[in-house]
Amino acid sequence: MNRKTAVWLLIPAFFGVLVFTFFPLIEIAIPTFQSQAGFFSLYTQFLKSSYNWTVIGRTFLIAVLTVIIVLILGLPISLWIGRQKKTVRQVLNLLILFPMLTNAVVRNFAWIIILGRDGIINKLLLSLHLIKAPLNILYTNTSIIIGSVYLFLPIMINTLIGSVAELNVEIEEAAAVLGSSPWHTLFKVIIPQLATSILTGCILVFAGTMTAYTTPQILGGNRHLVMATLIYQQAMTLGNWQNASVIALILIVISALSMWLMKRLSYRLDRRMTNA
Amino acid sequence: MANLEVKNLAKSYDGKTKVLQDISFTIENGELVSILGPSGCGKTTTLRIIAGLIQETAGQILVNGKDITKTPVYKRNFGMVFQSYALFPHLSVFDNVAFGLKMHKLSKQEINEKVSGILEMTGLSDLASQFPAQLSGGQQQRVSLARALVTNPEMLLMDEPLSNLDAKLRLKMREEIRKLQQEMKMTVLFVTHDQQECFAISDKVLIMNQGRIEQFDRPENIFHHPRTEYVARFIGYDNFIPVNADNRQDSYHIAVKGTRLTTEENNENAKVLTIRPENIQLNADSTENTLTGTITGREYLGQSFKYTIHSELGDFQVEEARQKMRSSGDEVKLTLRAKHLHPLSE
Ligand SMILES: Nc1ncnc2c1ncn2[C@@H]1O[C@H](COP(=O)(O)OP(=O)(O)O)[C@@H](O)[C@H]1O
Ligand SMILES: [Mg+2]
Repeated sequence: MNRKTAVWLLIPAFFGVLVFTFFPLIEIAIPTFQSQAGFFSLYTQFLKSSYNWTVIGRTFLIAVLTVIIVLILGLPISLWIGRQKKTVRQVLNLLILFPMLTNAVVRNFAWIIILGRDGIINKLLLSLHLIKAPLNILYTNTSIIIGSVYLFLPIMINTLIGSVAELNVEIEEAAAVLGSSPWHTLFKVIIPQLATSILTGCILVFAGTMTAYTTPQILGGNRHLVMATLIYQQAMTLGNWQNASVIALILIVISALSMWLMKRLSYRLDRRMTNA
Repeated sequence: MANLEVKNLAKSYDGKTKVLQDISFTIENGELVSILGPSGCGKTTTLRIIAGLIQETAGQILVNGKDITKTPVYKRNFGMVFQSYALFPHLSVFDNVAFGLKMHKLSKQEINEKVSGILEMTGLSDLASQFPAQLSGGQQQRVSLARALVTNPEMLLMDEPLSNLDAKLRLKMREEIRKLQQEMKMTVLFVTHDQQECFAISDKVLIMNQGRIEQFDRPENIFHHPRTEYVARFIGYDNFIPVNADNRQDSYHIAVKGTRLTTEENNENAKVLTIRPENIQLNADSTENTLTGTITGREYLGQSFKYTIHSELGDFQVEEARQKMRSSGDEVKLTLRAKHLHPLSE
């Protein structure tokens, strides 16, 4: 197939992206700049409110903490699964992806049962006399983070397993023979080789958590809004569509910027290892 | 550099199959010893146990008389060159080579000096800032050698280091390895399945078969005095004449099916006599160990011709360097000189 036909074949997809992704975005963006008070006035107004900054900060914090926890949990699990025989690996990978096939709302309600005042965790801690009164876990940042970790851990693991399986074990053995302890090998030999996949996993989890709606809605309640739930509140409860659009765009900019930064980092790592 | 003693090593991966059995040998300081054997005979397993990468089932490893069997791999201070080179893909050539020195907590200046020195020695100075993925196979091989040598290890372990290189480069690298080994007076254990390669560079050769040592000796001794039929076959003795007690006349004379054969070596324990194809003479002017046969097959080898000759003692493989090829069906006289006819006891 030559270049010319390839270009022709791409045209439908091009219009698809234009119509379904680009136009709606413009549609949202335009009104946010049409305020009488000035071009950016809606944005400056939004950013003047300290409450809004709290929400932005919370969204960011939850995303960052979720990424960190998912990575800390996901890396050892992936290292273990990635080193199994191919058939075992595939079965475990399926099991890990299985929760993603169930409905997100259902999964989050499961966490309400686990984390609530009368939930399993509180009952357990009370019966062990580790606490005197039930803990408030539900409807806090903590519960949102727990839900997000649960939601995105499979994605991280799934991203890492393939790369772990492809690692040449002799490279780690070479490090050991040269005097590298197992921990040193993990941090200086294994993780650097997985850097690109780790970054990819982080980008996916970060973007996912930043923009997730269901989990913070169900597990965060009304007092712990994140940007996605704030958008919903502005639009559906207050009917302030303009403001909702402003937040949406800010969210897009923050997510895109963070992803671009991570992507650049990963590109630099990648170039070193695969340049021929 | 040090001497290595391996005592009664045994290994089983699954608790049933014995991959190694009763492996014992000693490598003296400054020697290059090769382990030679077919694929799957346990060469890599032996090397990896010595390095400490896998656990032996039984036996001991001593370096300079000190038992290191329980020492973990990262505290053994060996150098190792892997078949896949196993370079760190995320580190430059310089940092690959510096890795072991950093583990030994050398100062930055010392590291710089040593790395530059070894890169110079292995002809890699210009590539110091390149990454492994940018290097050719031969260059990667050199980096892996430099990385193993720079820490001044007790001994160097090499697992088929040349098997991924093309024939020409393989010849060149094996000379380089030998030269480097002699200059630095290194103790080296070299694993290979290439007989020629191994005889060319080794002080001693250890021939392995199914997890056991068949013979451990200097290459020339193995070549001229193979201990077992297995070794003889492995190094190109193609002719085997089975003998038993009834055939024996005295310690130096055997009569098989009416043919009287004399050996120079004592044949008291012989189960079989062997001779190399190129050591059988055709139509020689001699009556020493002679028999007659008919040419049934022939092959052109370039320098020589190879014949299959049928005789009353069975088929013989004979290599003859001669201008003119003999014809199939020709009757010839074979002379098996006593000095080339080796009795084997196993
Ligand atoms: N990790 C392992 N688990 C089980 N069996 C193994 C393992 N490594 C090697 N073996 C078996 O041990 C035998 C010797 O293998 P190896 O030492 O690699 O031989 P070589 O290096 O001479 O080709 C082979 O039969 C091989 O199948
Ligand atoms: Mg091997």
